[in-house]
Amino acid sequence: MNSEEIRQLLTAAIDGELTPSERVAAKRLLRESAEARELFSQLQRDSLRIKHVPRVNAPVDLSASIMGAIYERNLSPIPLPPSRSADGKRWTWGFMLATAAGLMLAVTSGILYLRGEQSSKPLQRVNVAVASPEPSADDMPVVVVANEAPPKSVARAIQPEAGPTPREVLPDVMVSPTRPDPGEIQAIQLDAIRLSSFFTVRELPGDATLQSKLLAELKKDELIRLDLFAVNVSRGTDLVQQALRDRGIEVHVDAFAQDRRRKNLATEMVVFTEAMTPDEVAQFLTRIGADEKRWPSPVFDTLVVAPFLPKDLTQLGGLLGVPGMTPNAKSRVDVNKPLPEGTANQVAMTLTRMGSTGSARPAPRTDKVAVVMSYSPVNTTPGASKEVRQFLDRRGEKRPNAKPLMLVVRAR
Amino acid sequence: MNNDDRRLIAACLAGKASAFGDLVRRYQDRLYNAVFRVVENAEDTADVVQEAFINAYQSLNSFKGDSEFFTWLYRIAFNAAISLKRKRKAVVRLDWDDDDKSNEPVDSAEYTRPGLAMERAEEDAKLMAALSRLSPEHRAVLVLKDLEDQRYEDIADILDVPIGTVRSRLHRARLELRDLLTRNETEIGKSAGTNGKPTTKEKG
Repeated sequence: MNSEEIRQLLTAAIDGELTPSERVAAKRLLRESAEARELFSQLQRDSLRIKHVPRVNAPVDLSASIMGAIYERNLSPIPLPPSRSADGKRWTWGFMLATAAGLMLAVTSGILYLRGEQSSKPLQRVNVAVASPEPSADDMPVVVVANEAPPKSVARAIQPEAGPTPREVLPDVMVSPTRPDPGEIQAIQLDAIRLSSFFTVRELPGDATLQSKLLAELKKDELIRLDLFAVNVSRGTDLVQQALRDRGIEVHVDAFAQDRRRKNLATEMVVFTEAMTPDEVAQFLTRIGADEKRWPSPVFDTLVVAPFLPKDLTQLGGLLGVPGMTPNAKSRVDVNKPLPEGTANQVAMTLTRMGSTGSARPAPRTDKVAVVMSYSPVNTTPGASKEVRQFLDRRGEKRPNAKPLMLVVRAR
Repeated sequence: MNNDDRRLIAACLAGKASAFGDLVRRYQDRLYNAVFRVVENAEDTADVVQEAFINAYQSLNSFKGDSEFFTWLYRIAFNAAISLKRKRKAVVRLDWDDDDKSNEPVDSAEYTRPGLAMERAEEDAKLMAALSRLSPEHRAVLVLKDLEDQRYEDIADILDVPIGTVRSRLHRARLELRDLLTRNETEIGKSAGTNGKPTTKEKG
């Protein structure tokens, strides 16, 4: 029988992967061996059978399932870590350049030093003498090498080499051109730029100054965005929910968030309510701080009060499954007040439209209602959430002074 | 890499996750079919394909674009599929056992029935049963070559082995498959003979 290498030619021939020389060898093999011809024919038939096996299509919901998993797990392309070899190469190049520069500097310094040495000892070896008893026509001095004393009659005159033309110096520096006047440099007024404020909720109880500062921050925007970092998100969410209930606010917790919590999966939570005025939000946060103090270990870390941005509004719409919750694009952009006037009322009207209307409404509305949802990973189908639906159905007209609050309990 | 893939990948890296959805829809059927022939189980295939896409999405920054996106995706999926099959190697498949219907002596009446499609389906079932008895590595090269029509060079890239290994592995896989199909045909012939049931040839 043929050797293994020769037999492999048959497979490569079926696959069309022969080199020219292999093709010659394969042809010879097929011409000379009936056994090879039979095997080639069988393998070719098998290959064709595989090629004609019916194709199986992916389940129709596969792409939705993949994208759902990406959104649910809050995944994104992972940035590449800086390459060590690239760093090393960069360092090597840097080292080589530095060495080269150092060497050049040393050589240049050496040359300059030697020249300086030579120029400091000209009288020992060179005499400058007037070669001719009479000065030359152009009054140029003639340099004569001292140890080769020229005959007085034939002095060798050395003319200076023609060098670059010296830079022209203006006769009077007072009339030199000056740089144009840059004008007055505007100082950046940092205090005029709106920045996020940081608080610690457990420091709020008993500190009136801190509470006032917090209140002032909460009053700045029509909508309030708070990020409350927690050592333990589950416990933190419990404290938040309890504080809401103690204020008489009805809390609806999305089943997706409940399920993740029950399975003890890492989840960040978001609370949305329109039930409180800025004063009440400050009291609510102070209450949370007081509750936290009763725990043996810290529950919360930092509370960040940030300006409510247009993207927060879009995000809120996504969390509640309410499309089109975006600010008016034509409105003027103001870094200190990113959302235009009337946004809170627009949000309220949009949410009202999403709730049940007419006689089909399951329960009377109340202005004291809140919803707790998963912030990360986000529930990709909030529209299907019974609890979000209940919240939208139950929420009543927003009180005039109340501000929509988006409170995110995040992992520290 | 084709321009559409390049554009979609760039959009993904710019933060537009929905662009990845386009890539998924573009390649999911092809990848699913190939992986299914290695894994042979719809549920496992869906899992492998889903995880392959998710891994690809997360590793998108490491995709250099010097090969086709689909080749890169194959590499991720086939590695996962082969690993899965290796883990489940201990589970003995019964497709080829004597109690399997595909190996039972075929009633001669079956051959008299019109319907090429049915015969084709039976042939395919036998082929699939034979393929399923190959090692995951042998099955993978056959699928990549015959079903997916990949070049040796690309198969080597996908399976991360030298081209010479692809050639020898394919050759062994083809011989093994031929051997299995021949044994199957022989066993059927023997069974038919002992049962006294005439085969088509005998009838003719």
